[in-house]
Amino acid sequence: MSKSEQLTEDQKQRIKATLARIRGGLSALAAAPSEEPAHIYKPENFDARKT
Amino acid sequence: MREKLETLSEQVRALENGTCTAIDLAKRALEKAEAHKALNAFAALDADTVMKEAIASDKRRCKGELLGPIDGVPIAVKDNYLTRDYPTTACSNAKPTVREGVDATVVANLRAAGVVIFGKTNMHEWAFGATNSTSSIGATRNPHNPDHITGGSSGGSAAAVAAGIVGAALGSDTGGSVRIPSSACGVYGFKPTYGRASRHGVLPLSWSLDAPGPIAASLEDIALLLPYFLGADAKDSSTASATRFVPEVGPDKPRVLHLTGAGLERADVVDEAVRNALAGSAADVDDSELPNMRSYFAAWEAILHVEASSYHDTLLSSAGNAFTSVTRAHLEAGKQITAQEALHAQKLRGRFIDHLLNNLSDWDVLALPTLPVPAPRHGVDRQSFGGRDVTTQDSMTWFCWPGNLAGLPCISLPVGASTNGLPIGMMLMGKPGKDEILLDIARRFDKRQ
Repeated sequence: MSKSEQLTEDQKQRIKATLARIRGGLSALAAAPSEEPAHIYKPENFDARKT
Repeated sequence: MREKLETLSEQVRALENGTCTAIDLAKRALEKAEAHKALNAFAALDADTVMKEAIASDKRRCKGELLGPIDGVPIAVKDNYLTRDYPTTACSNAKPTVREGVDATVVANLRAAGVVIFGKTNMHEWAFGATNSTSSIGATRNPHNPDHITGGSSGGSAAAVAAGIVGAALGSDTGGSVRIPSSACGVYGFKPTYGRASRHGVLPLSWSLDAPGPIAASLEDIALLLPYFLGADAKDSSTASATRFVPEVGPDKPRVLHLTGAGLERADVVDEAVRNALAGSAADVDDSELPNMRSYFAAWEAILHVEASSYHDTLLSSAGNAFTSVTRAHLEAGKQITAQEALHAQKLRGRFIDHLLNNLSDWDVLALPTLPVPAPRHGVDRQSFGGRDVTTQDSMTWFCWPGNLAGLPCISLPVGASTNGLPIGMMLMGKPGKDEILLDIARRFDKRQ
């Protein structure tokens, strides 16, 4: 496992900024517990109106 | 004034009518590669290997034993495709562990059709970036102005085509890596529907976002090459139900949704070029906005980082410092995204696809610029456009990531130039599996024809 102490200050800042952006974006749009992830990835599966 | 590029299709016709040989094409390409060495487009190129394949092609032609219509044309290959006759480095000092002597499926398909594999092209390290400024062999330079970047991650492939070294080259696309450099260099790039083109033998960046695709000098070239990309491959389970390329004609008057609004800003010169291209066509064009762009972008970014860090976990542990500092930081960030967050991203992905396909008004293609700005200068870290100030990296993927998050077929085609002669590209996105329709509709907007 790579150790965080091996990371430079610049790398730590980049990681922090990347995670903040990802987490900020994800948390801005809630998902219902029942909403199914696109785990079987076929884009055409979504090409149908949900009832 | 730059010379008009010789297309792959023109080379095929020249071989057919006997005005040149495969040896002529190979020699000319090698001379041009040497003349354009300063572009740094190639990671590996062996003249003897190229000439050997060209000689073999000419012998087949003499005997009437051609392997296919593209037998004898030189095509360059991005350095993340496995090739049996060249090493594959992903332009990183963190070397991939790969089987030597193996071809990626797309390379094998082209080789079986008699193509002359014309070396390996420079790329952004491990495809984890879209500027092509980060590479173990140095940045690529834009043939339109070497002070500007090519974009990436398939920057060497686009530069080789735009410089007229080859008529076509192979790229891969996870967030625009075929389309971005195609736009920045003024050539054509096609990303197939996810699951229609085999990824086997293309070093992964993100399994569920990656797609191999061609970069070429014309739309006709793209059509010539897609049969070697599309179709089922037992070595890539995502292609299990993939159909082969069968040309199709789209509607007479396609319905085009031009996407605009928050998160889709662009420089005025780019907006003007795209609107002019759309206005000059026989299409119904409407503007439409996409909501929640910040969250959907985060979903793409989360999936990208998680999958990339998973793929590189072993290498990151054993040789983390062999990656460049920025790439290592990306991979380390991916390790800190939780399973809950990754699943949330996949939920948003499903919702994004559903919104594009079902909640927007009816459309045949979605239109956007490929890039919000013409190719930036080397060494400039930020770009300002439309009230936004973002990193150059973010500006490159600005419009392209939705095509990967939704798995849609996408094409970038040149539609104009900035006042200082840098190309401007337009991107069209089609419905999943409708790659042939997308290609046909793109023809209506093509200024080259």
